Amino acid sequence: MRHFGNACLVVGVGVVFSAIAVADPPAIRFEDATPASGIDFTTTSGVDPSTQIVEVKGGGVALIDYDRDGDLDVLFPNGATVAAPSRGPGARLYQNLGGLKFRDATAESGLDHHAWSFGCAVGDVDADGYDDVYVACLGGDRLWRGAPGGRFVDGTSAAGLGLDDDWSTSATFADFDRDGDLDLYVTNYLRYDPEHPVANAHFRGLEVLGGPKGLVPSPDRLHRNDGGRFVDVSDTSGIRTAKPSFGLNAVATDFTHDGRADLFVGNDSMPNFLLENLGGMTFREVGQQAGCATTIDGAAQATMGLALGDINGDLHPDILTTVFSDDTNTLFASRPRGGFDDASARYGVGAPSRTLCGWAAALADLDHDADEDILVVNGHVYPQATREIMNSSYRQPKLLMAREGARFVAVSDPSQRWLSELRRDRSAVFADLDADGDIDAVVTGLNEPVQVLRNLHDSPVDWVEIELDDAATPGNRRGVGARVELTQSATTQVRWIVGGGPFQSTAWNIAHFGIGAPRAGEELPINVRVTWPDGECTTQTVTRGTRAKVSR
Amino acid sequence: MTWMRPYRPLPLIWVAVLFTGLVPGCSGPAAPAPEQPAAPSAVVDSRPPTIDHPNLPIAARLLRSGQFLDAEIVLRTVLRESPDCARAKFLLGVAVMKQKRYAQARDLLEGSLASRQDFPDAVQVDHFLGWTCYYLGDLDAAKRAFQAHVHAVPTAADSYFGLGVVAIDEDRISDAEQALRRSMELLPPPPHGNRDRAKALARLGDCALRRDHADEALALYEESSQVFADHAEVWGKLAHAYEQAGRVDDAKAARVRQDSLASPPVGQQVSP
Repeated sequence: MRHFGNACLVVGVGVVFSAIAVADPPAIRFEDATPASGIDFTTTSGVDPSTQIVEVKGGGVALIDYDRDGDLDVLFPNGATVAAPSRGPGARLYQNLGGLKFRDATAESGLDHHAWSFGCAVGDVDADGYDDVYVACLGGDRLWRGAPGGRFVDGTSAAGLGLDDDWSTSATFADFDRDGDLDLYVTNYLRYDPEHPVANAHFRGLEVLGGPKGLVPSPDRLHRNDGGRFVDVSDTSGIRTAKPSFGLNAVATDFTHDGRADLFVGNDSMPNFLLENLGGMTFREVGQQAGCATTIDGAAQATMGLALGDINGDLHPDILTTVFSDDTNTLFASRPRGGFDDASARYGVGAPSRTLCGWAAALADLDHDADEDILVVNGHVYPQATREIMNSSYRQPKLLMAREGARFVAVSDPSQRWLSELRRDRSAVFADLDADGDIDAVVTGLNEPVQVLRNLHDSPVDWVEIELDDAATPGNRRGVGARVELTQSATTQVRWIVGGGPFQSTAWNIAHFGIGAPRAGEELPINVRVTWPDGECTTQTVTRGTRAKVSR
Repeated sequence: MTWMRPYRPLPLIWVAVLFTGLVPGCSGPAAPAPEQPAAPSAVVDSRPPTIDHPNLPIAARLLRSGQFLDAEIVLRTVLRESPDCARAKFLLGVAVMKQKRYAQARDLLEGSLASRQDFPDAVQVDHFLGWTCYYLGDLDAAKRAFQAHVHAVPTAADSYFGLGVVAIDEDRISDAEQALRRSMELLPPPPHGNRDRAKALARLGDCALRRDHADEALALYEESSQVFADHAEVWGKLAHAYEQAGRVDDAKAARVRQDSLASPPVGQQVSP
C-alpha cells in the first residue's frame, strides 16, 4: 500500500477526500464511455441548485431487455420539478445496440411517462414473456407493461396499482409467497406536498433545505401478485408493525437461511428493517435482533445504497450500505448462527467513506480475481456543502475499493479521470452491458448527464456469467430469489439473484463471477449449482469465458 | 440524513488543555508505550518567536465553557490581526473541530504545527489533530498525530484511546487492546475518569467481539454501562450483545436506555 498525506487533497476544487490507503497497482480500470455511447441525456430533478428535499434524491435507472434481443437496454424514469411535479420532461428508454452503444427508443416505445419518478423495478409481472416496469413516483406509481414490438402500455389501473399518493422511492419485485409470480414491495419516504414546500432548516450553521427530520415518514407497501393483478397486503402481512420510517431502498433475498425471500429495507436516519418472511405472505421486523438495523454503536444511519455480496466467505449474503457524509459506509457481515455484525472496520470499508455521501453501490468482482470489489457513487445533498463547512463538497468523486486480502483498500489512480471526476451522482446499474464478460456501469446524477462507464478488464478467460431461465415458472423466469454457487477446485463463490437494486435502480439478474486466469496446462471443471426460489436445485458444468444459461 | 457516529471529546483533555493554564505538558509518570511512538517532527531548538495576543485567554475561556462559535469569532479576529499566531490557529482549530468542521480544523491545526512556534499548549495540537484526521477518515495521519502526542505527553490517556480506536479500524486488535488498556491505566482512579474508562471498556468490548468472544464482549459492555451510564452508544452495543445472547428483555431495556440518551429523536428540526 502507498499512502497519501496532505498532497492527496484535491487542491483547487476545495475538496478534501481524506488521505486514504490505496491499492497499488490498480487492477480495476474503467473509462468514461459516455460520449460514444449514444446516451446524451441529463436527468431532471427539480431546480438546480436544490431547494426542497424532493429534489435531492435524483432519478433512478433500470436494466430491461424490452426488445427481447438478449442484451440489456436502459430506462431512466426521470424526475420533474416542484412547479410541475406530474409534468416532467419524461422517461427515456435507450436500446442497446451492442458495443456499449445505445439509441433513444423512447418515442417508438409508447413510454409516455412524465410523473416525478425515483426508483424502478423490472419483472414480468403478468408472465406474458415481456418485462414490465414499475416506477416509484411522487404521487401515484405507475406500472408499464411490456408488449410485443418493443412497446409499453400503461397497466397501472388494470393491475390494481397507483391508488396511493405516497412519495415512493424504490420498488422491489420478488416472489415472497413462493407461488411463482413476482410480488411487489414499495419503499416509501415521507409525506410531501409540492404545494406546501418544506421550510428550511439549519445544518452546521447554514440554512439548508429541510427534512427528513421534522417530516412525517410514510409506511411502506406490500402488494401480492394474484395472476398479474396486485392486492395491497400491507396491513395483513405484518410489515406495518414496523415503525413508519424514511424508506429509501430495499433488497430482497433469503437473509435468514430458510429459503424464503426476506427484505432488507434501508431507511434514512432511522433504523433499517429486516423483514423476515414467515411464509404465507407474512413478515416480522427483526432488524434490531438480527444486528443490521444500526451500527455497532447502535446508531441509525441515513442508509441509501445497498449491495449484497459474500465478503466473509460463508456463502451467506452480507450487506453493504452507503450513508450520509461524516458517517461511514457499513458492512453488515453475516454471522455463523444467523444475523449480522457491523464488520465495517474489520474489512476497512468505513474510514475512506467518511467525507463522502454515498448512494448506489456495487459489490462485484471488477477485476476478476475471484473476490468482490466495491464501487460507490457519491454526491452531497446540500448545495451549500463545502470542504470548510461540511468536510466535503457538493460534487464528489466515486469511491472504488479493491479487495486486497482480508480488507478493502481504496483505489486512487490519477490516470482514470472518471474516478476523480466530481459529480452529484445518485443512482446506478452495474452489469455487463457490452457482453464482454466484465461489469460496466451506468450512473445517473442530480441534474447531471448520465454517465456510461466501460470496464476495461476485457479478458476472454477469467470470468463466467450465469443466466437463469426458469421455464417452469413463467412469472419469475429470471429466477429472482435464486442462489447461484460456482465451484472450481475447492473454492466456491456465491451470488444472489435479488429483487431491488443499488439505489432506486435494478440489480442485474445474471450472476457474474471472476475466476482468475487458468493455470498453465490445467483446467479444472467449473461447476454451477442453482438453488431456485422454490428450493429445487440444478447443477451444471460451465466453460470459462462464457455466459451460460441454466434452465429448468 | 445527518447522523454520525458519536464522539464527544473527552473531558480530561479539556482539563489538561484549558483548565490548567493551558500548560498540560508531561504531568505524570512516564511509562512504556504500547506502540512505538513516532519521533516528533518539529525540531525543538531554533523555533520562531511565539506570537501572543491579549484576546487568546478570552477565546480559551469561551472554549472552556463550550461556546465554540463565540470562540471562533474571537479567534478569527485575532488571526486577522496576527495571522501568524500559531496558538490562535490551534484554538481556532479546536473551535471548528468542536463544530464538526474537521477539514477546516485540520488545516488550522497543521498550520499551527507547521509554524513551529512554542506556546503553552502547543504540545496538545497533535491530540486534536489526531481526532480531526480520524473523523476525516485518514487513519494514517490520525495514528501519526496520536503517536506524536503520546511521545510528547506519555500520560495522554485520550491519545492512547485514539490509538486504540484507529487500531480497531485498521483491524489490529492486539494493538488496539494494548492501547486501550494503557489509556485506562493513565486515567485517575474512580470515580474520576469513569466517563473515559467506560469508553475504553466499550471499545475493548468491540475488540472481544472481533475475536468472536461474545461473552467477554457482553461483560465488557455491561461493565462500561455500570462505570458510566450515560453513553448512548454503549447501551446500543449492549443491546446488540444481549440480542446475540438471546436475552431479549435485556436488549429491549438497553435499547430504551439508548434511545433516552441518543439525540435528536426524529421529529425535531434539523439542527447543527
